[in-house]
Amino acid sequence: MKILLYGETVEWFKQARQIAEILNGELYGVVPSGELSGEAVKILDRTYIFNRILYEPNTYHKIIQEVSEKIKPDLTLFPSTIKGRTLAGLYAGYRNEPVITDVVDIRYDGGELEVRRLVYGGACIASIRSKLPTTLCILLGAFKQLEKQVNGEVEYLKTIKEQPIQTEFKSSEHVGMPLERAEIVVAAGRGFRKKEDLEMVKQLSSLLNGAWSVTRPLAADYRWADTWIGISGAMINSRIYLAIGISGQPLHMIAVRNSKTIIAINNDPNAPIFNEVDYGIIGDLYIILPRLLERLRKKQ
Amino acid sequence: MKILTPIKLTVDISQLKYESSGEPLMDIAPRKMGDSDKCAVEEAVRLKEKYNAHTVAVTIGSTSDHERIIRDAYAMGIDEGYIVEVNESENLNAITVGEIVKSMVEMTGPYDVVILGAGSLDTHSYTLGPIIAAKMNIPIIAGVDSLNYNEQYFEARCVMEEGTYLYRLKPPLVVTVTTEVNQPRIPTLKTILKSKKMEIKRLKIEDLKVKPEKIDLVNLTKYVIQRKNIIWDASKDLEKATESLFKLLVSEV
Repeated sequence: MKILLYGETVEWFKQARQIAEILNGELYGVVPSGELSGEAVKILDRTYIFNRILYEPNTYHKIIQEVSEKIKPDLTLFPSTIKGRTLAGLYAGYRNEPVITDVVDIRYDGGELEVRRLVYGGACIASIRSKLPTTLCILLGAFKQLEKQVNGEVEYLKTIKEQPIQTEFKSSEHVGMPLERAEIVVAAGRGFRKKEDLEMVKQLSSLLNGAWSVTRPLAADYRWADTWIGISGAMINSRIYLAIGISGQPLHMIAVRNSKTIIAINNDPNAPIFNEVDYGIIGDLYIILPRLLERLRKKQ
Repeated sequence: MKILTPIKLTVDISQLKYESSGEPLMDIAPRKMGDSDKCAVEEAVRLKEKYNAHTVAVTIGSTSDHERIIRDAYAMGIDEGYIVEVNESENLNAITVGEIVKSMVEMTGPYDVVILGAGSLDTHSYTLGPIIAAKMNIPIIAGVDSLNYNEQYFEARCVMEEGTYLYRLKPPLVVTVTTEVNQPRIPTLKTILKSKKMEIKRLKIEDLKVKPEKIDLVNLTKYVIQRKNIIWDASKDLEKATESLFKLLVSEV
């Protein structure tokens, strides 16, 4: 089976390698130039490199389409991020093939593909059968990262000189360690009263050697941060996820469910997040966090 | 300017109930217009008010709930509404939905812009807008957090993980909006009463020459991940709760 992927992180390439192993397929990838392409050739059987331009889906999907026409893949994989979903929709729409997002499991017996995907904000799981070729968006963290060194081939795609659609970009405020690489993620929700109080979350993440983030309302409504954890933001699969002042809305939980251990601090004993935690503390974050920070500092 | 807003009737996931087997009770689940679709309707109506655009909404299905969401869109200010009648519309695959919208555009268009919610409330796939753009062979701006129009081009701001993108595009185009793009208006009693008298046009899927393809759903069940679920109540014993959390973090880090 020929499998084509688009993606921008090493973690994702390794997860796709695991999928290729399950399906006994060859793995091809479309990857932007730069440091990442050097890593890609060690993981993918064949890497198609294009010169990195500002992300704009109408241009990007044409690049992927061009490679797809060469390879004629049975399966095309995108990460289930906003970018991945948008590109997958365009790609599948032009190719007239099915597209399934939020995929957490894939089975193939030689005939049709059977995948399991999350629906209803992660409250339910659906098993769906699909003919090949098909396009899938994989929920990051659903598959383990397979460490397998290959000596992949490389092909450079023709240079794109100008952006057909006028595009500008402003980078986000640096939030420390990238979320998808962090083993420990601490996140703040609406339980926080003001932006300055996020300092406690930043300090905690730094003491735990992890990353920090917020929920969508804090980023998009209050503008306390540029990015957030949630189905429309970053998806994480950390070893520990510590949710502070987060009620646990379905669209947030879908993005953190792949974490191994979930811990929550919330003053509302009826907050839905308590149904999904390994460890929960019912209490005021403004009382608990300062004590916890002091305790961790003393230990250092 | 002519604007099309496809709206989807979706399961209200916050009110989903389950059988003891874990199977969701879909037959009795309440349904409504999704939040980002409502924002798409609002955005279309704002363009109408500012640039005298003609606004059209369409939904796919054949239940009274579908009629209700078209009336909801009328109450917010949409001028013309269509229902494309298909049975069991919830199981249509996204490619078929894209073909229906394309065919509907050919029949009732041309449109300068198609505005829809970025992700539906039930599946949150974010793929329908891009599929519609592909089928119509026009560009898309997806996941828009703020939208402006200056009578020549649209300017859209999209906040993503790595930063904020600003795109400038001339019509025709597809725009998918997030719930950040605006605060949808609450219809007044007057507009609600008016919406009840407005005509809803009906099209049959055969009229649109689309062969409906369904999702081959094998099974649907509640998603459960086993968790330890150990709870410490700090209001009863603050010391114990803080100490337990400290020890847990220290042992795990």
